[in-house]
Amino acid sequence: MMDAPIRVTRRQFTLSLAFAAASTLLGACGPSAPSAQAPAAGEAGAPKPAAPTSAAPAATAAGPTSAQIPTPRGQTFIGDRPTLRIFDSFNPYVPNGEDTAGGIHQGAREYLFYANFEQGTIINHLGKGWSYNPSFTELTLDLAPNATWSDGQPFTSDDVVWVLSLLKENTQLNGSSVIQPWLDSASAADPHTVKIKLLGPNPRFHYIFIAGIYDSPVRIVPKHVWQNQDPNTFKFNPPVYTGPYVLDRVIPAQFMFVWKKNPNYWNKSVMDPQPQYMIWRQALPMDANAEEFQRGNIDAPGIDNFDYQHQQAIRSSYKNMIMIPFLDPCPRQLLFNCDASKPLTSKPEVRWALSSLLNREQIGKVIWQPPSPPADYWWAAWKANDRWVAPDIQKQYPFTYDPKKAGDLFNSVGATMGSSGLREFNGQPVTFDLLTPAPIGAREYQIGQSLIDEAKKIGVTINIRSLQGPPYTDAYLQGNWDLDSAWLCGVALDPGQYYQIFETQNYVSLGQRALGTGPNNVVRLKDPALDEVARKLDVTDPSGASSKPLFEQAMEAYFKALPVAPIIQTTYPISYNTTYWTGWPTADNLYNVPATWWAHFVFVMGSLKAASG
Amino acid sequence: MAIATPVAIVEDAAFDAEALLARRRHWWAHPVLLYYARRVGLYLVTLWGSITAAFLFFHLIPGNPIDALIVSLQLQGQYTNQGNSQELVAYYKEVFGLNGTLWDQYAHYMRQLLVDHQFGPALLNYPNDASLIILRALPWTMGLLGVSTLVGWLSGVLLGTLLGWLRHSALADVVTSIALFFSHIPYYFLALYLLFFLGYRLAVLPPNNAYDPIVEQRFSLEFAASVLTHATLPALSVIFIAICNWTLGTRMLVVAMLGEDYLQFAEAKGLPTRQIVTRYVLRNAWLPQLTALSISLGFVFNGQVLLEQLFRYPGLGYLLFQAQAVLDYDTLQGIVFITIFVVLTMLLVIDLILPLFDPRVKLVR
Repeated sequence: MMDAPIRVTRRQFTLSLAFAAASTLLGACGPSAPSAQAPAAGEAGAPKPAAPTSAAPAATAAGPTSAQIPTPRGQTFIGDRPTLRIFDSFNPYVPNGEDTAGGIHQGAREYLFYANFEQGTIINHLGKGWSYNPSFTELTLDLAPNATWSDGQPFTSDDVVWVLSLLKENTQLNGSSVIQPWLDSASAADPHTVKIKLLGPNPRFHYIFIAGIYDSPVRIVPKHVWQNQDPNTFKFNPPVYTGPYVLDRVIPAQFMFVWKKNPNYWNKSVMDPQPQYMIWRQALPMDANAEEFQRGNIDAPGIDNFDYQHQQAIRSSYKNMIMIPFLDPCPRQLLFNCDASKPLTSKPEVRWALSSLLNREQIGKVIWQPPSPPADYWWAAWKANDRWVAPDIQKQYPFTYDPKKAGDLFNSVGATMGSSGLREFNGQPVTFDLLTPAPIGAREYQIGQSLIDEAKKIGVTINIRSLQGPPYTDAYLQGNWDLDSAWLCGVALDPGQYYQIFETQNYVSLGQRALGTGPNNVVRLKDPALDEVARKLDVTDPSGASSKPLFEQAMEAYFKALPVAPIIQTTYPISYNTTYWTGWPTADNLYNVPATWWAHFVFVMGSLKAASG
Repeated sequence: MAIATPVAIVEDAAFDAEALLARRRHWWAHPVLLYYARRVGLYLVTLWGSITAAFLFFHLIPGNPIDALIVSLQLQGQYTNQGNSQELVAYYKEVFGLNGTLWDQYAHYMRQLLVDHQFGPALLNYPNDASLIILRALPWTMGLLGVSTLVGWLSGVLLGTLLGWLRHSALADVVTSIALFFSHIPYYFLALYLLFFLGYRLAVLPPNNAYDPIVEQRFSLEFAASVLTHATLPALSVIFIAICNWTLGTRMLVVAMLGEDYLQFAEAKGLPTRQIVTRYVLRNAWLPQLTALSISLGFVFNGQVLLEQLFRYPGLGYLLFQAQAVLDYDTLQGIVFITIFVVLTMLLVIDLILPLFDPRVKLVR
C-alpha cells in the first residue's frame, strides 16, 4: 500500500514555525558563558591567578534576604560602588581600562606613599622615603626592600624605572603628562633605590608617587608582566599588584568583584586584614540599599546610593551603624569667567560683588545636607591643610553675605540701577549666564538659584543652565558661560598646585578647549600678581620654611583676584555597618580618610576586626 | 485551464492583466517574487535610513565624549593626564573614529558595521568592542523581557477574549475594571511595591540580582532554578501590567466583532460556545495583536532601564543607561541598531508569513 502524500496544513506549519521560533528564542535567552578572568587571546604573557588561599568556601546562607555573595559572609567585607562595568580589564593607563574603585586600589594596588589628610601625615609604604639634591633637579626614591608582587616576584626599582620610561615614551597613556615635562631620565641605583634626573627644578615631583586625593597620578605595575605587552590594549587580567588582596573572580552578571587575601602578602607583619574576602559590587537604588544595609548585607555602602536622608531614616532604629562626616576635597564654589572679553566678570569688583550675594550660612544649613560650614578657603578643612591657613589675611577678605556691598561694588564699576529697576552697564541690562553640571533641583543647582534670587533683589539678572555629560564639558571647557556653580579641585598636597591652574601660561582663549599643556585654566584668568607668585611657588619647596611667606602672598593675590569663590565645605555622610566588622574610622578616631572609594581605604581594611570577637 | 489573475494584494493597485501575463514568462517576474523583492528592498532602505538617523541623532548631541570622559575622570581624581590632554584626546578620537567631518565619521561607522561587522570600541569598556558588552547583556534582557512579553501577551489575549465574550457578567466587569486600573500604573511603580512586599517585608523572593552568586553560572537545573527565582519579581511587574494592557486591547476587539454575521450564524448552527470562542472569536481577535506583539518583541532589545536598575539586573537597559551617560556612541548605536534590526525584521517576517495565519490575506489570487 502506498503511503498517502504528506500534507502539511497551515496550522501545522504555523505551529512548527512558532515552535522553532520559541526554541530559538529560549536558546538565545540562555545565560552567557561563565565570566572568566582568564587572559584573552593574545595575552599569553599574563600570569596565572594566585592559588586559592583555602579550600572552596562554603556557600553563604542562602535565602531571599541573604547577602547574595559567593563567599562566607562572616569572612567577607562587602562594599558598594554606584557603578561597576569593567570586569575584564585592569589596565590603569587607558581611559576606562579598569574599574578603579572595584577593589583594585582598595586592596590590590599599593602606592609608594599615602597622604593621610585626616592626620596630616605621609605614610611610607612601598616607598621608604625621598630626597632631592639642593637644586631640586634630582630625586632619589628609597623603596621597601621586602616588597613583593602577588606572583612572588620582588618589587624593585626596575619596576619604577620601567614605568617612568613607559609613560615618558607614550604620551597617550594616563600619567604621562606629569612625567613628560619633567623627566630627563630614571635609573636603578640598586634594587631598592631609584635615581630620577629632572629637566628642571621641581620640588614637587615626588607628589606623583603619593596617593593624595583618590590615588596617585602614577601607578606602578610589574615590569615582568608588562614589558612584552602593548600598553594601549593589554588587559592585565588578572592583575598582579603588591596589596593584601588578589583577584579571586569577577561576576559581571552580578556586577561583582571578589578579592581574596594574598597569603604571601609582603607587609603582613604590619597590616594583616581580617576579612578573608573583599567584595565590591554595584549598589542598588537608595531604598533597596537601605533595606540591604539594615539586614547587614552591606558593610560599607557608597554615598551615592545611600544618602543622608536614607541614613537618617534608619539611624534611630538600626543600632549597628556608624555615621561619620567626610569632607570632600573640593568645596562647592562659584567659578567666574575672567576672560577679558567678558565685560563684567573680568572685573574683580564684580566677582566680589557676586560673592557677597552668596549667603553661605544659609546655603550650608538649608541647601546642603548634612549641614556644612561655610568655606573660608579653597581647600577642604582637613587637619593636613591647617598649615596653609592664614587667618590674618583671610580676615581682610571675609566672605560675608552683604547685598549692600554687592550693590556698591556694581556701582563702582558703572553697573548702576536703571529706570526699569534693573542694573545697566554701557546701556545694556546686566545679565549673567550661570552654568551648572548639577541636574535641575540638585544642590549646586539650588545654590545657583539662591544666587539668582539674591541678584534679582539688586537688579541683576542671572539665567541658569543645567547641562550634564559631554554638553556640559563642551560649554565648560570652551568658556561658554559667565558663572559656574560647581567646584574646582586643586589643593591635593599644597595650595601651590591650585594656584598653578591660574597661571597665564595655561590660558586659552574663549571658544578653545581649556585642555592645554598644563592644568586647565578654565576660568581664563590673567592676573600678573597671582601669576608671578604662583610661578615662584612652582620652584619652591612647599615644606621649606621659606615657602610660608610665598604662600601668604599667593593667598592675598588670590583673594584680590577671586577667580573662584569658595562657598561651603562639602560634607558627605559615610556609614559603616558593625554587624560583621568593627574597627571603622569614627568621629572620635578618624585615623584615615573614610572614603570607601579612595586608595587609602586599604588601611581601613587593615584595621577591621571581626565583630564576633 | 483558466489562468488566475495574479494580484499583489498589499496595495490592491490596478494592473494590466496582459502585461502581467507577459511578465510571468520570466520566473523572476513572478508577482510573489516581485512582492518579496519590493518588501525586502523597502526593509533594507528603512534599515539603512533608521541606522543613519540614529547615527545623526547621537552625533549631533553637542560635546565630544572623549573630552568629557577625560574631564570627568580628572574631576573624580581618576585620570591625571592634564598636561598633554590634547594629544590624548586626539589619539582616542582617532581610535573611536571621531576625527574629521560628520560625513567622515559616518563613513567610518558604516565601514565598521558593514565591512568589519563590528560596532567599534566601547568607551565604557575600552578596548573591548561594543558588541562584546552588548552580547554580555543581551541574553539577560531577552530572557527576562522576551519571556515576560510573550507570557503577558498570551495571557492577555486569552483573558481579553474571555472578558469580551462574557461582557455582561459581573465578574468580567470587575476584572475589566482591575485591568483598567493597573494598565495606567507604570510597571516600575508596581515593581517597587513588589520589591518591598515580596522581596523585603515577606521575604519570599530574592529582591535583586539575576541569580544567586553561590550557584555556578552554567547549564544546570540548579542554575536555571536560581535564574527563574530571581527573575520572578522583575518579571511579575512586567507581566502583570502587560496582561492588563493586552486584555483591554483584545477585549475591545472582541466586543466589536460580537455582532458580526458569522458569529450569529455559528450560534444559530448550535455550535458549542467553546468552539465559537476559540475558532471564531479568538482567531479573529488575535491577528491584529500578533502584529503588535512583533513590535513589542522588537522593543525588548532596548531593555528596561528602570526595572534593570531597580533589581540590579545585568541587561541591555542598564547598559543603555550607562552608555548614554558618557555618550558612548558605539555602544548606544549598537543597542539601537539591534532594536531597529529586530523591529524591522519582525515586521518583515510578519508581513511575509501573515497569510499563514490569516486566510483572508493572500499574496496572489
